[in-house]
Amino acid sequence: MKRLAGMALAGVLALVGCAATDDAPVAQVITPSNTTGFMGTTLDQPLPKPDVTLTDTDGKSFNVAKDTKGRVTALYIGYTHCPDVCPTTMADLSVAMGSLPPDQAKDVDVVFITTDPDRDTPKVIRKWLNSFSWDRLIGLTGEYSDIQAAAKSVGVFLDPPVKNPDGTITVEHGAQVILFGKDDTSDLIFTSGFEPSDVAHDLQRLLQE
Amino acid sequence: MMKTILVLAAAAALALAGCSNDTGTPSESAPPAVSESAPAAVTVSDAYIAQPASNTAAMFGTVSNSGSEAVTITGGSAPGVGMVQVHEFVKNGNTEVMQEVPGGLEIPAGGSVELKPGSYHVMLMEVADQWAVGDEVTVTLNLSNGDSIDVTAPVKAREGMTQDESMDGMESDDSMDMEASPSAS
Repeated sequence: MKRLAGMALAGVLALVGCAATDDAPVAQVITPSNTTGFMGTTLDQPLPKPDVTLTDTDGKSFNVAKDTKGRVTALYIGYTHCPDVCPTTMADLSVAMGSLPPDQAKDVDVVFITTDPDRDTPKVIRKWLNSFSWDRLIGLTGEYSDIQAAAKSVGVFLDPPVKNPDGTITVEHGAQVILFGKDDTSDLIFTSGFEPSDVAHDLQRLLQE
Repeated sequence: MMKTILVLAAAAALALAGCSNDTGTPSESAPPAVSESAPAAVTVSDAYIAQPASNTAAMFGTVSNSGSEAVTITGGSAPGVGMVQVHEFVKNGNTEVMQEVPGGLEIPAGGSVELKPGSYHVMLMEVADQWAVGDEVTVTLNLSNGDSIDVTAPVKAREGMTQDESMDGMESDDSMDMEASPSAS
């Protein structure tokens, strides 16, 4: 999908870094985003911010929809014991945030929701988030059923973590970052492997809308 | 200091690494985890470990097999690491699953397989020590032909991550307990 968007944009912007992920079908996807001027993949149906109450890394309750209301928000659903895609995604988001002018970045929330609440306590999440360069990352955990429902509401379908016979744990996580505009809906996603500059570009556009 | 800790941890790691390959795999005569540098048909080039953000880490690189028969990486070990496996990412619609490659990762005769983000990686679990950018880690990979190879991989910075290893941040005096996870028994 991203490749499609990139091809469509190629005449205008020669820089779309297709980071080689498979073109996995993404539910509801549809229109290459070039007509809107966004670099991400646009969805047919806008997704609402999850109306779910979880716990932040200070141990306080945090309702995603209410506590980010009216703010441009980037949401990622992953887990801290993931060595590959999750830290890469958070690192790329941190790069994107760090590239924004401070007076724009302050108006954007970056929210991480764990899919592995048994292991990802608030303290573990905070420690993990602190290893990234952007210092205002919001980390959330909670009841698995709430997390699963929140994920489902934005098109990410999770099965509970599976403990394997060798003691390892297989955990599913979202493959995309979901960007919400000031209207608290999203029709814009980036699959893992995105270019930070593309996310920064789209965040700026959302801030201007 | 790092090295000292790694050496100290090695004994424990060797014991723990029993879960990967020393027993019960097709390689009856499993060599010691620290292998001699015998000429092996399998080599790993451009190996590196992406700066870890937790007590799991991933090693990447290109595995080549110059031999005339396919060889499978069945597991491995590393000092201070509880478990070493070859993992893959499987995209499943909007979600991704990381799992051990069933049966191990086969390197075709005369071919190579790239380990890279979003695809295959050597997963290092229960890392006892926090690795910093610039550290070098020797990972032993066990092969289906009974050989094992040592791969030395530098820890490389990940853009977008802090590099000062001050993972403890602001509220950290009591928080060196990442390993308190129930992950492995």
